[in-house]
Amino acid sequence: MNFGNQSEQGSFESKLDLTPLIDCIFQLILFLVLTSQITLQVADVDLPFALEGKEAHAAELEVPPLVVNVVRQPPKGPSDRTGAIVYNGRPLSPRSLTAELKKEANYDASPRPEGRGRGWEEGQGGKKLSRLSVLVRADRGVKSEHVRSVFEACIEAGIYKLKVSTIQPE
Amino acid sequence: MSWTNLSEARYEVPLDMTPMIDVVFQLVLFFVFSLKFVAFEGQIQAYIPRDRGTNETAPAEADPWTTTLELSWEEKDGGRVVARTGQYPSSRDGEVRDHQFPQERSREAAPAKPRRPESDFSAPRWDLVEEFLAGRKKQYEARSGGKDLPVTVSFDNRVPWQAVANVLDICARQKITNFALNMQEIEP
Repeated sequence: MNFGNQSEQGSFESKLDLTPLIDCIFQLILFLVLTSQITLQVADVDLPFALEGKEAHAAELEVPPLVVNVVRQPPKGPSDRTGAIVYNGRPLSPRSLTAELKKEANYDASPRPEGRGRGWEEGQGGKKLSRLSVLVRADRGVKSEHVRSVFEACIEAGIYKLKVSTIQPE
Repeated sequence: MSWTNLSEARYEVPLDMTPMIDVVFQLVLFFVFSLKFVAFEGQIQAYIPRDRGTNETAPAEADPWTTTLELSWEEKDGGRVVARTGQYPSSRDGEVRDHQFPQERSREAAPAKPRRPESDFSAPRWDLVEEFLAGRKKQYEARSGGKDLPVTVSFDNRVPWQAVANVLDICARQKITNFALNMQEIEP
């Protein structure tokens, strides 16, 4: 609220100050950017109940885990438990998930320009194992075959460090 | 800032609240995002041993104390998860036998509740499963001098994920770390 301070005769010119408006628009943009980034990784899933679910400490891992969601499709009947794999916001078939995970594992292991290529670990039978970890966020009502397909995709890609997301029972 | 000089009173500048509202909005956003996505989810380690995925068959020297837990699905009573083990202690010393854990009371007891896929099935008595695993772990540790009991869990494709998560929960609580999810499907 600016008052023209040049004249004393009372002809107030109020100049519209745009600064608060720009601030508000900036807030809105920030909000939308943050919301879309987070929902990309974390799909809306009813996680299974488990008392022993420990909170993740992101600092423990060098690289944050890859998040694979198994969401429940809208049930077509009372006992329909079909699920779908959602990775990075996109629904994938198990084969596509395997390809994506392999890509991530190869990228993580390959030498990087800054010299931090993490390489492979040695597994039994000479199998290359990735140092990546995968967080599986599966809906509590889906059939286990969908989660099994996620596990198999991880094994195919050489990822053996798995975490399962749970929530505390109500 | 108030002016004592009356002729300059018209230049009083009121306190501008806009930046304060901006900052408060920032704080609110921060708490909304940080509390919702981090604090409530927990994680349980699911062990897939490093030798899975190779074409080798099971190693010849499988530990005879390996405890198997099988979750299968039956369509009776509107769907039930049945837990079985091959290593239940029988009354004779040292003998183990196949055993099917009893089911919980029928869910039909509360028909008014809405039927939801995650609870709309009859589950086994998880407390008995936990008791069995705890007992076996104690026996194994006594005999082997503190090694971790190997446990293998296999599950039918139709078993709801909550049931498998319950088993993971039990193993985490009993500190069973040498635990493997069997990738072979159970024959229906």
